[in-house]
Amino acid sequence: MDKNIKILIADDSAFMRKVLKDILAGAGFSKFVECGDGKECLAKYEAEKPGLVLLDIIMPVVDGMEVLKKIGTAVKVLVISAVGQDKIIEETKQHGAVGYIVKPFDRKKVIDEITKVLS
Amino acid sequence: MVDLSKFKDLFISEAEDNLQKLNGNLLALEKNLPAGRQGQSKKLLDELMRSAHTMKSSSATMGYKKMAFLTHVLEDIFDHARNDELKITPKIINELFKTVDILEKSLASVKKSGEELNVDTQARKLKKLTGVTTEGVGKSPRTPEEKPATQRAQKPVEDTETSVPSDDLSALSVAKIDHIKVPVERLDNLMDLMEELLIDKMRLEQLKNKTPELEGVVEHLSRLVSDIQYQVMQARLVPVEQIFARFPRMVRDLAQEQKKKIGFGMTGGEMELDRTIVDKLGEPLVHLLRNAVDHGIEKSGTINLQAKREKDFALIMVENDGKNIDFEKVKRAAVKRNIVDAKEIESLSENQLINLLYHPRLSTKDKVTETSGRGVGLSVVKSFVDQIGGRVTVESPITDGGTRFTLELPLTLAIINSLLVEVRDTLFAIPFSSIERSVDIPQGDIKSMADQDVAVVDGVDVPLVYLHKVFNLAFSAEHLADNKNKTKKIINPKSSTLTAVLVKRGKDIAGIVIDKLINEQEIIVKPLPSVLKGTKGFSGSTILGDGRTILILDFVSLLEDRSKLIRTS
Repeated sequence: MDKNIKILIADDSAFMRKVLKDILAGAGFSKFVECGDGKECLAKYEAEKPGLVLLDIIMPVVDGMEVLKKIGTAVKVLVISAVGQDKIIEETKQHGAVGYIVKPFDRKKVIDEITKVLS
Repeated sequence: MVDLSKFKDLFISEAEDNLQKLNGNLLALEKNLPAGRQGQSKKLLDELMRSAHTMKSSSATMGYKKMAFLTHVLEDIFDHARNDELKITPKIINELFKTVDILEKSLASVKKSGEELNVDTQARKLKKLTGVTTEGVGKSPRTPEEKPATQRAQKPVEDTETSVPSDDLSALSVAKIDHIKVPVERLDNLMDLMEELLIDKMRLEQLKNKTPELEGVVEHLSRLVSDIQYQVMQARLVPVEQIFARFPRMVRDLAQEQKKKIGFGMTGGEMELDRTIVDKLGEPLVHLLRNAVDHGIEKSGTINLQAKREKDFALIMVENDGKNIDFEKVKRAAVKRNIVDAKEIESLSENQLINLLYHPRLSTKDKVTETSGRGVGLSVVKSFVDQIGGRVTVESPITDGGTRFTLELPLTLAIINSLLVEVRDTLFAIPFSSIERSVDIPQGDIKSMADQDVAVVDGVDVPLVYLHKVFNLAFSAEHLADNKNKTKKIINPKSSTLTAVLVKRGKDIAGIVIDKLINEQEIIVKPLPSVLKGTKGFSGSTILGDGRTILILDFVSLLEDRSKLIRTS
């Protein structure tokens, strides 16, 4: 697994971003880009070309599903959302999401899922 | 599991932001209710849902399951409402407001003890009232076909301006973080260190006079210290918006309680002040706003809260377009509560009458209500401005009736410009903000009027206050010995001119008679030593470059005590 990969963390909660970053840093990742809404996420995606996107669904301005529709086939997107409905999960898969973690999550679940996605 | 303790601060500040957003958007939603502005309400409901949603997942991540569940219920209510499956009624709005209050309390408890409150009752109440069927976090039978309403056609965004070349990773992390949250304690520590540095700077400036080689480096150091001081002060500024934000909700609640129709406007929330001032500003503003609701507006009207920056100070105004202050009623109340003798009441000057408003025991309300009637209110305002070296003025009536209270606040607290003066071998500092100018008064221009010396300055009668008399000061034995031996040029109390500093307080002016002007100096305001707490006439103390501690004069309390000496000019 390439720990040098750049990871874009898209979540409107700075708290959530910090928790995720902490988990990722603990697993040996070091290159992070953050954004707080879907619009910013698309801009950062274009500018940074990350190798992995951790994407929240419910975000202001442009929501995660819209972001996914635009970049879901171009990059590995792991959705991390508190929305747990099967239909939503199914929809993200259709738009190219490689995984789905329902919040709240624990460290192991996030690391396991990322390992699975990146290998 | 994730170690969460290090995220607690961020969780709390973000949750506080979200609760504030919930409050603000609920207020807006309530305004839209009768007008049926569907489109606008939809957008509000989207935002409300998002705030609740974010708080739900953060709370769940932190392990605060009860708050997570309650915010989940909120999220479901907003979600159903935006999909037109639930009609938001005034009754529901009230319950939603209550929920936000309860969440606030629970969050305060988390902040204090790390434990959330049991908020399940409120969750059940909401479910019963709205019919939502939330069962557990992440488990509610919502219709998944309903996509978030923000999902409208959006143009792809190409924000290349802010982008950074992707190969430059170090630049990337710098460009990303343009704001950081810093615990207030660190800023306070920085400020304390700054003050120590400033004292050393003063010490060095004194040494410089004896050691000319030091001159260049001391000057440079002084400039640097001043620059650092400025930057530290800047870092401590916070927008007053932080405390304004809760007022629309408060005024709404008070108006509803008293069955009044009150429009509430706020401007200037972006104005920045030192956080120490902003911290303390909340309570006096609560009292002024309550006062405006209770006494100003009768049935319906408008209350405005305005913040404005002037050159050297900040203004905060609370005005209402309702009733004027009924000074006759104030007089009656003052007599009834034995604040002023019935015989004296009619001879009070306008200023003295206004000062009655700030008396802790004054209340013109016949009945004590939850919000006013106990007096106290305006005295809180007064002690706040006194404490921070500001002023409060009142205009009533303003143009078309109504009342305006204006708080004049210093922009910073800790470091002020002052004039050092000597009175009978004792040094005092006088804040620049209270000084008009200093004058030499020829003895011939002083006349005595009924125990009160008055000097004519620029054609105006200025009552004189002899500081050495006020503080009962005498020349030191050493000084008198020098005087006898004529070894030192001494200050002659009977010289042909007197030196006075003219200070202004509202419309009153007074001449403070001193022995000698020393110099202008930036001083650091420290609290009064505990033995002097409660002594009138001083606002604090400061440490000079040579290590001496001197007192800072406070004319507001000094002149108040001797109000009989000060006549309106």
